[in-house]
Amino acid sequence: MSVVLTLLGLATNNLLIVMVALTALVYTTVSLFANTSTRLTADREMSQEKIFEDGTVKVELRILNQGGKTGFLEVRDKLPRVIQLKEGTNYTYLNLNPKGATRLKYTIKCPLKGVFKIGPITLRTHDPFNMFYKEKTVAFESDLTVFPQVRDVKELYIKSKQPKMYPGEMKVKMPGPGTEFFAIRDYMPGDPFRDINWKAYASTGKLLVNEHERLSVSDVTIVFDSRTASRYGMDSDNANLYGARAAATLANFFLKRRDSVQMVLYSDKVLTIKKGTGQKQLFELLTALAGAEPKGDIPLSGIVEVAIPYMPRHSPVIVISNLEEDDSIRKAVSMMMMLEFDVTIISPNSIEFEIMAKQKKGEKINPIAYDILRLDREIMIQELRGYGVKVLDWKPATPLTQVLLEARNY
Amino acid sequence: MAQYSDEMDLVPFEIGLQSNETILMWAIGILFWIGGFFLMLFSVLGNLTAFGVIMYGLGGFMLIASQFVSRYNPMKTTRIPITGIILWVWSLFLAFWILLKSWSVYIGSNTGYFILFYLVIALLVTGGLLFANFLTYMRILDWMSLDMTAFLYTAGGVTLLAGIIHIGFDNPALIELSEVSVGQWIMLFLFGMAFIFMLELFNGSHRFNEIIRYAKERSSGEFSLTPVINNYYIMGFILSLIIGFVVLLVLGATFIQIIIQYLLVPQLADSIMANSVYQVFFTMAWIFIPLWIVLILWTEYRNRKETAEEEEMRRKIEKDQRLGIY
Repeated sequence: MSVVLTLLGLATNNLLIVMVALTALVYTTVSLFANTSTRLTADREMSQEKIFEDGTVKVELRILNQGGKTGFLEVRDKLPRVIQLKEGTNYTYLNLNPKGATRLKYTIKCPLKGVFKIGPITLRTHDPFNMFYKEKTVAFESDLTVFPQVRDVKELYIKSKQPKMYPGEMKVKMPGPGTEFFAIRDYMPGDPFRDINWKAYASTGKLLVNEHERLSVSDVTIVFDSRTASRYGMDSDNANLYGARAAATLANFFLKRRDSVQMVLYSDKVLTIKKGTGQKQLFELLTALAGAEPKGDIPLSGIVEVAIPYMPRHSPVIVISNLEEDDSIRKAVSMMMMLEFDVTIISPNSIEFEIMAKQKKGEKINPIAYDILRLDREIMIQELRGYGVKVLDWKPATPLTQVLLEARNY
Repeated sequence: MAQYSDEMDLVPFEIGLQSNETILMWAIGILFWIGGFFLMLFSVLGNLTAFGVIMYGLGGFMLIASQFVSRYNPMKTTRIPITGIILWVWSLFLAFWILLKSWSVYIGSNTGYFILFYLVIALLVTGGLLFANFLTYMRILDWMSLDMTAFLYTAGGVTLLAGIIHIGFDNPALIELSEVSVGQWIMLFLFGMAFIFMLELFNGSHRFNEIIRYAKERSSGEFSLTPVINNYYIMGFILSLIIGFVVLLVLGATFIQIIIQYLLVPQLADSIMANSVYQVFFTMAWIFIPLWIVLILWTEYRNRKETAEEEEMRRKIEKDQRLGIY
């Protein structure tokens, strides 16, 4: 502005304009000279690096001024879009004295699962007139893993037809070692005395023994669909998120029961977590689920063909998929049923997620189009049930625990 | 600035000063605006054009209006740079009256020729701007499409300047330096300072309001800019003294230059050029050109030093992260 005004003042030989130009020129020059130190360093400390959905993390940002006075210092710690600030601020505006330091504390809430990066830190110093600024980015990023929520499930009606010989907590409908009453039978030589049902003996005069329901362990396979199609809906409500929560809940339940769990996760590539037990396995499964972003479009049949050799025969296979945009589902399911796997499909209903998202945005919904889509889905589910598969249609409003209870009906 | 929820943008318009902390800045800005008018009045000995006064008043009102913060962002609702186009049309309109005044005072020929000349120039420039905006990467109109408050601030500044230039063009008496009295020099100096500080205070107030608004939206805890604004007042005051001193220094140097010219080359001192604003321009040139060269070299040196330091720090962080210190 000052250069233009100077030239205008010169062209028209006008002192009033030249005076304004002169003042503007001096102002700009002084502001530039007064531009302050940017010799700043920053680092970040987080209370936790791995949390469950809806968990909170305390973040402390430390800024150290190694130069002279900073003037106005704007500090911003970049946060991913889905992370919410619960307390404090990730952005501030302050003055720092030479060699001064400050701490910026804030708490974030992570409502959705994922693997996020906190940072980088942007430091911006302004001249005292707020006219110029100099930006510096401290490329210091912290990883934050948010695991999907794990619900507490008391009983699950998904069992193996072929239990293993090791004792566990899965009730198998056959006599064996366990604590629950199963049946009464005639006494056989070698039966322990404590199993004799004395009341029955008193009334019948025959030695009868109690049999217990067998408690065993089994191998469970969870197949998790994380294709692009699982993204339909909103950031906070979609098949990918709901499915991951279901997978985490099931994995936690089975691992607590001492079963061994393996997981096949498919998106644009296939990730297989070999079967294992205990907390370490749970941690691995949760980490994989946290990082499962919706992408790719690998068909289920391809996954089944690759994974079948590693899946123990007759064992339960739980497929978590919205059943959208995959023509190979029927083929994949029939293949598994042919090999006598106990297949259960938990299917978050993407059509309802999409409708919910549109309603929230205030967009118009074509009811006929959605009725057709619903009908298509219903036909597919009925066909799959016809193969003998348990299909649990999961609508967004239904809690996961209730959906899992539905398995009892099959 | 990233926002988690887009719903904030659905709030159509929010009027009101955002913080008590910036009201003082805003009020001083208004005082400078009113004071500037009287200083300009005295410096041109009461010879004000009606257009200049109206534009000065309107520009001031626009600057004040820019303090009423709006969340309405035209860039989000349309692909056409509406505010950029409005600002451009507004500048064209103002340029017409200013150039017309300049034409009548300095050239004095037929106004009809001027209108024809202006229309051709305006069409060419507008066409070029639209062409550049929609067909090339030089999106000047997009750049001009600021949010409503920033647009008002820019339009206000342009309007004020248009008023001042119009008044300046109507006062050719200021051409001859020897005809300018000491009182007029003082008034001109004070006017220049008042104009700059008015723009600065409105700019500062607008910027701080933005920061406060952003911080309040993003944080749930206490947020106070009071220490920063207090520092702004203190530093601003010190720098104002420096700016005033430097401007006086340039003016003083101009008078010393005139005296030296009289002593060394009286013919040059008596020339029309040496008696005009060119004398001030020469002083500005020999003071500021070396100063800017020093400034550019110093800034370049500092940037290189800081880049090297940053690189070193980045390497240190990478190394520490590998070792698991962080």
